[in-house]
Amino acid sequence: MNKDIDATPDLSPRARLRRVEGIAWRMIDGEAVLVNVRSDEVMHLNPAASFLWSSLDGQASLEEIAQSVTGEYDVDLDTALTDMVAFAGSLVEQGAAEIVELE
Amino acid sequence: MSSWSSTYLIAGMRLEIASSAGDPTAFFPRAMPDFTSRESGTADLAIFFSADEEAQADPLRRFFPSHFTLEASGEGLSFDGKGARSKHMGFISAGCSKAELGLPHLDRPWRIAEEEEAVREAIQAFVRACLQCRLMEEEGTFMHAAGVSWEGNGYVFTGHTRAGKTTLSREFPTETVLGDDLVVVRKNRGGFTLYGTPWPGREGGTVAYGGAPLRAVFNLHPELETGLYRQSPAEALAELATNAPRLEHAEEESKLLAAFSSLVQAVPIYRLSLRLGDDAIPYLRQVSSKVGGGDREIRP
Repeated sequence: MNKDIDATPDLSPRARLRRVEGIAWRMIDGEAVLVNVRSDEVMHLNPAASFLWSSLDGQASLEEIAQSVTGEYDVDLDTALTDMVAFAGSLVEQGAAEIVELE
Repeated sequence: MSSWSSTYLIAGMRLEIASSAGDPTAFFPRAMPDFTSRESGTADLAIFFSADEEAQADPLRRFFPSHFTLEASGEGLSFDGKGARSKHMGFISAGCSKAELGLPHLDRPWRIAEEEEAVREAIQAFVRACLQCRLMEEEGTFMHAAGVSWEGNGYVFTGHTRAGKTTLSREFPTETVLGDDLVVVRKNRGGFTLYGTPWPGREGGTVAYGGAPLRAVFNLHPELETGLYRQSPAEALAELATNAPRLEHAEEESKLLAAFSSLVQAVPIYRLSLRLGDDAIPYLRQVSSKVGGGDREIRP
């Protein structure tokens, strides 16, 4: 795990991330609601972002998750991957996810 | 050894309180006697106030803290006071069925009025923390909200600070108001029940013992265009979670999210915008006539 990242990380499609402890979350109708206890923030994610969030188990790469997204939603791989990498970076920046492997 | 005890029924929970620190009733909310239980039965939650000699013996601790936190400790939760120095004050067991709080002797004269007030805040914060912990075990929770029982149905009005909860509750006949600041919603076999609690708001002060089947929850948004809008379950969950006080532990927050998650799937949640003096009852009539509520935009 890389603990030195404190700004938006430059994630590669092969990066693997996982949800951090300290985030309470619940999925309803395919949409996730997250409570970050430390930052006192509540996030309501759209279905695609919720799919990414629930897939952040430290095992699948962002590329693999993006491929799965294309099977679930009407989106091409390039668009899905660009969105996934950007959103995953914001999750790391907010302390909701951590990098297991950068690439 | 307990020298005082009494049993209360709050939100359908049998709460037994015993004390070796003296009679605590003067430190409870004014309406607490209305919640006294006169029936026998097994306690859902037993709270013990133990005499803590140190609480008065050490001059540096003569003031009780006015801010409290719950920390995971062993199998349960530690109730700690925060101030000039942290002080372990009480403990809530795993499963939240037993709890203990150390107190100075309550029947001795207080050196200054602030000390008595600080002890009052500690007692009430502890009782509420214990009840919240126990309620969440059964998908229930306190809500910072006004609640009314109108024509046999329960309605909750919640929202951010100064959204108008207390003001709106004053528009209803006093006998219909279950609480103007702090109510409980609790899962039952067929849905959720709304309960009044003994704790009033600072401005209003209306509480009542009783409950009603919860028919709808309204998230108040005075800043938006007047009207009513049914929220999706996820949208409603996010808003209820945003307005709830933070519990400081992911595990406790998960239980609260579970309770709210059940609530938003069992009870319709609406975003309601009213202007000062607007009548809310037409909206109550509108939502009570709908089963499941098909329309997203609703106008009375």
